[in-house]
Amino acid sequence: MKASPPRLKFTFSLNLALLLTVCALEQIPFTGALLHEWLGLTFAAMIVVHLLLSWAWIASQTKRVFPIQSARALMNYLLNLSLFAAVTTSIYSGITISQEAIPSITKTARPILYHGSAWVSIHDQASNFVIALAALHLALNWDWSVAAGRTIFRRLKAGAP
Amino acid sequence: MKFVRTVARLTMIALAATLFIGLTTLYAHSFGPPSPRERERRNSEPHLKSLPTLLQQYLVFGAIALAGRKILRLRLGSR
Repeated sequence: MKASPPRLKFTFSLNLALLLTVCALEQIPFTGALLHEWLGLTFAAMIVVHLLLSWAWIASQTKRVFPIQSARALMNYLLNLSLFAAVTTSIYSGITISQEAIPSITKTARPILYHGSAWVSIHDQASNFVIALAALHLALNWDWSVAAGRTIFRRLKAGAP
Repeated sequence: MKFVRTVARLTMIALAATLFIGLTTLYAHSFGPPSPRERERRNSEPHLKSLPTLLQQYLVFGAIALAGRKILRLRLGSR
């Protein structure tokens, strides 16, 4: 783990926030549509920051995968790429069917939604994929997450910022 | 320099996202027009009574992560 403690703390907190948010986004009856949509937009921004912070890893993995060197590296890469595709689809379809947040930002009329319409179905399906793939993404990065959590906890216990 | 690098990375993320958005839009167009029979309605306000389903969601998330770890043996290393 080469990240400096403040950066490590920020990255770990961001990842924890992403974990909590991704599950909360799946439960519209709990959050309500208004909070769901604003939380979704916040989630999109957090994903961009997460990708920027992980850029070194993304770049090194892209170099390792092409040409294919190992099945594991390829599988990990495809899993992360699928997660990116699912998140992108989920966010875009969510923006398309937004009833609260996007109309209030753009000052446009709310779109009329019908049960089972294309974008509603795509949003629901993509969100289910996001949950499954995000959980597998956590499994993939479990060692890093545990090590980062331990380091931060140890520093907090020692009174370091 | 750092700013330029960040903008370049953001552009690459946007390009990759645009590719997937394009594919999704093509897929969405393959659907027929929606039948205007049943309107989709979602509650605007949060309902704390649904908290157990949120906790259930975290358990499902944890179970999938555990399965990925133990059954699929997902690791970052090359071994």
